[in-house]
Amino acid sequence: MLAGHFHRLATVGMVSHAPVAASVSRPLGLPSLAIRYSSSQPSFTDTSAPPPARSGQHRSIRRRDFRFIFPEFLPDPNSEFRQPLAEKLARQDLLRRRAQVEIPEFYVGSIVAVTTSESYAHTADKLTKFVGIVIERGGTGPRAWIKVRNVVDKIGVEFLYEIYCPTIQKIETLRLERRLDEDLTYLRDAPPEYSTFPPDMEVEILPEGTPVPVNDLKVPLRPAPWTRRWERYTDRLNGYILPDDLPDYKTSEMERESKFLNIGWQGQVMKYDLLLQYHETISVEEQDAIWREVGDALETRDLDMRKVAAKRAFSKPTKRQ
Amino acid sequence: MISLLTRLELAVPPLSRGRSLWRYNDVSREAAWPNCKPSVTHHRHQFRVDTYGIQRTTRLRVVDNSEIGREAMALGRPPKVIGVNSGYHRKKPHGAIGGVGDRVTMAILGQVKRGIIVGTKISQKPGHPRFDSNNVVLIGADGTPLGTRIHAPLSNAMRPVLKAKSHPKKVDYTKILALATRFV
Repeated sequence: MLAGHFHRLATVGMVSHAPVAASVSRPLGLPSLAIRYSSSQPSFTDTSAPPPARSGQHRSIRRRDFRFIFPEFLPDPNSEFRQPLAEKLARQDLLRRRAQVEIPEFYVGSIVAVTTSESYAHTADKLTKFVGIVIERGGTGPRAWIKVRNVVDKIGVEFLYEIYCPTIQKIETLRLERRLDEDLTYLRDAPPEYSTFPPDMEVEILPEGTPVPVNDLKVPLRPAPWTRRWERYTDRLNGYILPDDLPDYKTSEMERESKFLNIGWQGQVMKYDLLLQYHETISVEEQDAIWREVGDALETRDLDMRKVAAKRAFSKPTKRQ
Repeated sequence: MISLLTRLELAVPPLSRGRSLWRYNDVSREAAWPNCKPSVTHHRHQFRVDTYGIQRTTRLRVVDNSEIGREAMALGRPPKVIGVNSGYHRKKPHGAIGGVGDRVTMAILGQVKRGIIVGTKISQKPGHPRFDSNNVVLIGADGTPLGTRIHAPLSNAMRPVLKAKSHPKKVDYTKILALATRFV
């Protein structure tokens, strides 16, 4: 697998301005609107077609949004790592951990507060809380992780949290929203005010059944040098604005010879390669089977968490003297 | 029956293993990272050169209020590492690589000073912070910090590291923790 990957890197990646490479890559952006699964509205998956008659089928279609909310329940599509029994056991582990800790719905671009138990912290309860924006999310199964970023004392700080790690006590979604991209690493190269959030931020409560808001903020980048060459990602990331004067990097030898290394027409047909798509994704039938297995437990757990949250938000009226 | 188009739309982006470019498998490292240096040695001997590791010639950022440190940062001449006192990669041809808690020797405004690394840019383990700059605190020959205040957040995970590196009769690096204003 590795050899095959590197071959593709060596061929496609060398093309400097490569629309071909862009079309080959997987779709990074989600559909423009994701409806919350708890809502009674029809989701975006069945807006084009009329809702089917059988309620069970309708529920399974509605549950297809779970792939954005609980992406760690889907296995790694790489066939070398597939192990159906281990995946099933891992899913049960995830459910058991979710029963202990409140892991709410959040996306890349949401603002979360992560409370962890830190034995070296000099606080009374040995707990530390970090507030920030989720800039990346990845991993499958119990090793699923998020990267949370904030600017503390004018210095950017990032934490990588494994969300099913037993040291994590609580995860709160302070502001539930999505950005234009699934990878906000470019916030490192943006002015600090775009990733600064107050540590004592309060929870912003959305009305029940509202779709997840999409924040279409476009972040202007600082002048180069950057941590990555963001001018090459414009075909797949659209959440930033490049400055007017782009850096003048010295082109490497490989780039200069890219026209000889270019795979040419093969790159153009890669987007029609259905087998490639098949090997890099989890099919809908498999996803439906997974949601049939864990969907009920996830929905009841979510309902319980909502009840607890509503109880917390409700302030008991006191009798006036 | 789900049509093929619907199926492609419903496809989940794959979550594969790998380094930080895992989401963009079709972009090579040379194309993505502006500071990537191609190795001229045989591939058996090559080592991934990262600007994020703290090695010799790395420029650091002084985060305490010592006089020489403030002056160097104000003049835009940050200290340059000339030696790393670390066990990691110590016997490799390129020298040692420093992490949080390691001692470095620096050239700063024509003088040789020592310091303790308190924050790095390189990606860290889960639960350990990664900073946007390579931070350092200047210390004297006997291990006492030159400044009286640190204006950058320190990590809680640094406490046991500094404690282990201190020696009761020689040096006490935990004095750095007393100067910090904030822990993350």
